[in-house]
Amino acid sequence: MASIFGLLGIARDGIAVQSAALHVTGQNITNANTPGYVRRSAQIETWGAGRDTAGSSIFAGVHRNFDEFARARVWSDAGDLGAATARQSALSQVESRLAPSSGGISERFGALLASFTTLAENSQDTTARTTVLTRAQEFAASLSDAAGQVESGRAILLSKAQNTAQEVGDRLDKIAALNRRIATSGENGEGSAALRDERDVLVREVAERVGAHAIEAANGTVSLHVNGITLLDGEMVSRIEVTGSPGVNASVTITRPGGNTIDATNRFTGGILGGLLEARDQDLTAISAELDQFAFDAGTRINTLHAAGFGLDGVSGRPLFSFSGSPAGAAQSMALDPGMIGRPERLAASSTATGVPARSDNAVLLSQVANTPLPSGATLTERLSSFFGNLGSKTAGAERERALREEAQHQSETLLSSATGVSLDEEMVNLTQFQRAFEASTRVLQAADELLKTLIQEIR
Amino acid sequence: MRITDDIRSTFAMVAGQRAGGRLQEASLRANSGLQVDAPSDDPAAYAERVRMDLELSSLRAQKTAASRAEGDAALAEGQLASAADVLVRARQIATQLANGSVDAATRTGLVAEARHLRETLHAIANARGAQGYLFSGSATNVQPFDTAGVFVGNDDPVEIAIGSSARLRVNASGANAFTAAGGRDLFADFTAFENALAANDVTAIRTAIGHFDDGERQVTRARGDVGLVVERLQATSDVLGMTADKVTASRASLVEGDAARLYSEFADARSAYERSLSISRELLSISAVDKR
Repeated sequence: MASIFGLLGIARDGIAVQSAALHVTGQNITNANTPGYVRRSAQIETWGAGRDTAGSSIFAGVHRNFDEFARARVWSDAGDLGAATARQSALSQVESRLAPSSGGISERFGALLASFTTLAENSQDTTARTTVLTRAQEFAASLSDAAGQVESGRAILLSKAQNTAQEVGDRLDKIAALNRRIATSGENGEGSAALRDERDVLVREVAERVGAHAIEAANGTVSLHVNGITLLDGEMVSRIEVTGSPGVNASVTITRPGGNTIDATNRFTGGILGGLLEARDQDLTAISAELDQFAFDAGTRINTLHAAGFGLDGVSGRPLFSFSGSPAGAAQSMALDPGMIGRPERLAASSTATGVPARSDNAVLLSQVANTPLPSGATLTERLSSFFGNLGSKTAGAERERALREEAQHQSETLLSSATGVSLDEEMVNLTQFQRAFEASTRVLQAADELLKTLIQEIR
Repeated sequence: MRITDDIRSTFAMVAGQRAGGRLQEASLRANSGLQVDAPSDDPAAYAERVRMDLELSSLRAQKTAASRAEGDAALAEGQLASAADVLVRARQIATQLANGSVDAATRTGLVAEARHLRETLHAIANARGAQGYLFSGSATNVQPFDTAGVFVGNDDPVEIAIGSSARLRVNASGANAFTAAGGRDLFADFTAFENALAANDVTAIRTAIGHFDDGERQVTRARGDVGLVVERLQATSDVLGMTADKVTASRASLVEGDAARLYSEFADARSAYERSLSISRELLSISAVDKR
């Protein structure tokens, strides 16, 4: 049966519940811009029968409004975007170095061919000969520089991959510690919710770096996996290490908590790490190989023609360039042959010993070397334009991929935020609602107090 | 779908970044005037640009070489014209002396002139141009005819490149013009003529007339050959120039953007960016916080 004291209890409960709800609202407002914060909502229930405040309200706890599906999408998309961004960034940098606005390989090659044309018109002119040697040196340097840029790019990517592995290791340690605290704090309670928020941020950072996906256990701990490789299981952390050396593909090894080490290179295809390794060991390797092939073909062709001709001293058989004996490393090693340095008279413009000094048919052939077919059928011009076309296609493709992944990430972030984010407009409504309810509860308290006073005065 | 503050602010940020990115790209294009500046801008166009740049470099160098070679070729043609005149005069002298009607003083003068004509022909045959001796073949650093008129040069070609695979001989053939390789050894004919004059051998003098006729035709043929080279060099230079202009125009249409269009795109991008900032400002200022 309802009583005045019951009314007091109801008012008391109302004040306590609305006060707790205001606390939750205040917490949401305060953390509206906290990264990773998941919106809380107050769970308010009604007391059932069996107590004198039956029908009163009770604060049942704080609910953390997270959407598991949206969260998993965000983590997955973060990994894809991380990989695409890492690859696009690497290719853009290489592209800007290999195709500068001036002084690049194609400009130097064209200048060398033009110098042969000038030499053919006046092959005994020392200035024309010296110019050919200068242009040849510049062409060789442009190839060597380009190869050096690609190789230093690979070194930088390896260093970044190693840093990324280190960053992942640091975060896994923190997640393991949070797992332990979450498991012991229990499912409910604000302490657990805040820990989960903090852990979700770290898991997302790991996903961005290695494309990991997470599985939550019944006790609230998460395990992280990458293509079947377990990085973290509860508090058990595996170590990631990236190793590599110039000219060799990088390898990723996992050391399990028990000490076993496995080669997991083929598993790490996502995330920033996957993007860096793909850029280093596939894209830049292919670019380097194509550059080397062009350098080898150009050097071989020019040397063959040059060696068939005669210098002003009537001697033949001299190469113009020196480089590696096979395509591998040809670009990096390309240089003016030491025997030609400072010796313009040795340039073989004539096809016969008796034709010097003015016979220039060999210089004509050298000037037209770009358009004579190679054994493969293509010409040096086609090879060079194809090289830059392929470089551009790779880079443009990587940019399109990055833009696509960025859009997907933005959409998944929007979905997640819609489910878990704080809307200040909503909180303002809640604030008004709970504040009014609090005020109403205090009125109930006042009314109950006045009733009691009246009753006591009547009894006296 | 719930619209949270994070969604609104992210939307504003992303919209601003995209509009800003487009503005940046448009300003770069408007500044440089290029729409294909990097391989990734348009891979196929950039590959074509590389090919065109190589072709342009080659065309310009070939045009310059052709223009320079034309100088010596024209000079050789002029020298051969003078050589033909020498032979015509030598024939005239031979004709006068062959009919036996000249007096002794005139004869003495004509004999002296004949000797002078040989010296003139010798000087012509050893003429130099910008690249060395005109009629020594590829041995342009060696005087082709010694004092006795013996040819010590060669008939090797000096060539320039034309296009991607053709070549053009640009030097005159001294061998064909002045030696038996072309039909007559002109200096030997002059020697025989001088000997005939010294011996007053009328028969030999009459024979020299025919030799000088043949020699004049020989030199004229050689002059025609060089004249053809000059014409071909002029035509080649013109064609190379026109081809270079066409390739330049093609390259420009491929690589360069229309200045007015690029500026218009930049102006549009700037307006879009300003609009984006304004909308973002409006969007972020609307809040129930202010209405409480």
